[in-house]
Amino acid sequence: MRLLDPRQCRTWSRLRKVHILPGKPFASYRRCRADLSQPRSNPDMDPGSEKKESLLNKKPIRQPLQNALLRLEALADKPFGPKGNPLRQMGTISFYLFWLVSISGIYVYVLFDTHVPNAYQSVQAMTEQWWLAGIMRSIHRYASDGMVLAAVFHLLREFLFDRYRDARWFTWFTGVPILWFLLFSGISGYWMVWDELAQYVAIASMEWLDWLGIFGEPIANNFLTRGSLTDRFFTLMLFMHIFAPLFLLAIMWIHVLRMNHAKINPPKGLALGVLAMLVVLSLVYPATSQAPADLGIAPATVRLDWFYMAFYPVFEEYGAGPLWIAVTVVSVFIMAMPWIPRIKLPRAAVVDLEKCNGCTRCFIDCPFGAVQMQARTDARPFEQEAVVDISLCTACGICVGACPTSTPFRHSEDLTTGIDLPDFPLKAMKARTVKAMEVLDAEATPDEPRVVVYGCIHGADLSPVEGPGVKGVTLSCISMLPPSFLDFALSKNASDGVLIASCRSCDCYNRLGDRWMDERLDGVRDPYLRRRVPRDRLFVSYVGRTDVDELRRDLDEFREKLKALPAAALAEEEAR
Amino acid sequence: MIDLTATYHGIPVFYIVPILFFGPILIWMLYMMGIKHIIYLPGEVIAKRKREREEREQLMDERRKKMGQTEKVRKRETKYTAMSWVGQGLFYALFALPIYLWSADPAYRLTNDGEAQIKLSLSKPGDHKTLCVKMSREELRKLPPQKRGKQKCGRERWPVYIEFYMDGELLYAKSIKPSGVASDGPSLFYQKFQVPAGTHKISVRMRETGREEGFDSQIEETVNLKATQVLAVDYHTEESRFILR
Ligand code: HEM
Ligand code: SF4
Ligand code: SF4
Repeated sequence: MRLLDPRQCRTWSRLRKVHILPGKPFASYRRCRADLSQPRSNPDMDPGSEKKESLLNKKPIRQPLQNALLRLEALADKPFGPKGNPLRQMGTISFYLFWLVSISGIYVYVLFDTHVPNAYQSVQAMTEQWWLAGIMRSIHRYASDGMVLAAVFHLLREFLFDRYRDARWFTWFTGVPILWFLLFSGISGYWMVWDELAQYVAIASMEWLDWLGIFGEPIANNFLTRGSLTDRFFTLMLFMHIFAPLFLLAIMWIHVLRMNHAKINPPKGLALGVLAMLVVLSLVYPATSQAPADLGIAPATVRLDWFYMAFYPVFEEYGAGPLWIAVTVVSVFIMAMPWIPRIKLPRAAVVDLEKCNGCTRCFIDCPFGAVQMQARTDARPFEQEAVVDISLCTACGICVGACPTSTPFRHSEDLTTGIDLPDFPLKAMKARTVKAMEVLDAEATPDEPRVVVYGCIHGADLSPVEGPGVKGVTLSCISMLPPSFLDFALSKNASDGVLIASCRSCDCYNRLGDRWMDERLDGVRDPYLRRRVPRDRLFVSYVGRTDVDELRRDLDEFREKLKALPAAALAEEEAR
Repeated sequence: MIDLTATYHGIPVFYIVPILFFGPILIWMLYMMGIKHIIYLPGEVIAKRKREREEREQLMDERRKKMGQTEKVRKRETKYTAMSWVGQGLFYALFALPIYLWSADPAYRLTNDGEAQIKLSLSKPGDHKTLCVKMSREELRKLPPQKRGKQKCGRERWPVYIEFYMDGELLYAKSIKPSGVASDGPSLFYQKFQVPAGTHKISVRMRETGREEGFDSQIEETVNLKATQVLAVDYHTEESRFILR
């Protein structure tokens, strides 16, 4: 019986099928299956090569920043716990803030009066009811500000951790229109207050748009004199303010569409915390209006909301043309970033129909939606088969760990699996495990426990903790490891324990690796770890790239624990 | 265009139209996001889903029980202490701080003290470049009947040339091309000027007939501008004159 519902993955494939979204439609998936003619593209990103250094470690600017962020996140791990760490949840927090802005927006819309002479007063009245409408108004404003803050942090984080190139380009690319619509939504919101700030921002925005010369009559003329602004135009402005967030939501949806099991809601504790923060901020520092608008007067100073209006001083200093150029250049540059330079990933996963039985596990577990199921194309008596879209595959290997046919308990000659990475196949994973076990056996001293450590190229480097009694095997993702390997590593009596160096919770470079590994160990996700594997000889350590010391501590603790265990396996063998 | 400010049975139209327009889009999006699985399911499917879910949960429970020992594998989960609440509070404060600092501050100075603003705005069609000519009979016969007017007019217009003086000093002069692909639209113009407050003699002159010298229309007036006041100088096409407001 299947544990998870593959229906979850369908929307995306259906949209692809009808060509609404980029990517290849179903029919041509098959051609991706065997693409082995290409040379190995990047030995640096490949755990199969003996090189310890991953591509990421060679970034002279990015790496120190990455380290700093990792340290900051470790600091936040302490009070929040790794699963509730807000610094790793900025995408979900942005989503959540969007809902808060929407709900408070509907509330203030009901109280809002769209007649130009009354608008200001209707907003002012909300602030006067400080205990409800006032809080709603403040939340509407501050959650919007928070969204900019969270989205920019999220953007920087994806950049620093290099999660935006190759198969991920689409998500990055669609992030840029998100920024545009986010800014436009906020700016148009400030028009509604119809105070001095609204007046300035509306006129400046219209002048900026007029520079394009596509509107016929300059729209800034709607604000020429007292009485120029009609209710009709003001209602149009309100429409824009409702329009923009709806478009924003649509793009946010497209943004995460391509991902499998995209996480869009923050954990409950975090959601409550953010809400509490906004309420407190709203009470301590309620959002207020500036002086009422008067088109006969040009205010000498305005108090800008810098999250949304940092561009206006640029407009004032340099004019509309340069600002248009700057916006275009910056947008195009950010959109082009996934290709400057391209990242070279190892080759995509390959399905072997001889082995694949169409169980859908790889399809469900692939974090990037790169696996699809289609009708069987060979004579074997199964309904479906897996196919990989090379344009979506990041060669993370999670599918290898998910496939029920990935098991080391077979002769090495025919060690193939339903789905495999050409550049770091199951065979190599077994070979390195066996080698580690051999080395351990050769170097072992009787009273020191022997431990195999499985790690990941994106996580803590294993070489500093290696030594007599400790040998590391680095994979492309911790979830590339089929649980049967844990069984294997312990059953041959060549090691006393296995330490799994997973990444920090919710921090998997491949999005879902830590989660899948946890669930497989807990027995709630296929393929799960067999019962016969002694759990006290396993240890999971959640360590990031900068956590080598913590890994060492965990390892020492684990080995102490192992020493105390009766050498059950050994005793059995001696008895024989 | 619909009059959005009208009311329908006492409900303002601008409340209804967005709902009518965006409502379906929103519902479609929610539907695509998976709401359909909740709303449109026949009873037996819901029952089947429920059964499946229960089976699944039961299976997981059984498995968890069988495994039994997993907690040994992992380090302990986070324990929340008083210190962690304080720590969380600090992080939330760190998030709120920039919002507190920059959502309405620091103020931005747009103009210097004691300045007024003059907005010069224009939407004025220049004269046609070619005069209309009477068409001959032959020419008329070649045209389809509905197009047979008496005259043939060139559509292209002259640019509008404008000069703006303050206290006798030329502040601005520009020749504004007609809008439209065929250069047949009005010349459009909008420009702001910051001027010191006080009494000024302002004059605007315009030529729209393509002549080289002299002006077709002008205004000269003395105004007293207060600081931050906005003076709009606008051309009224119907009345064929400039208006200061
Ligand atoms: C309001 C704004 C935004 C929201 C709500 C949002 C939300 C999200 C969410 C929910 C995810 C999925 C996380 C996961 O499940 O792994 C995600 C991923 C991502 N976002 Fe955003 N995002 C926003 C803005 C941006 C911007 C501006 C960019 C960059 C230009 C960006 C780039 C990315 C990238 C590259 C990923 C993919 C990470 C991966 O594949 O591992 N996002 N975003
Ligand atoms: S290697 Fe990773 S991205 Fe590629 S198909 Fe397998 S799970 Fe998906
Ligand atoms: S997990 Fe393996 S057997 Fe199952 S569908 Fe994927 S490739 Fe085939």
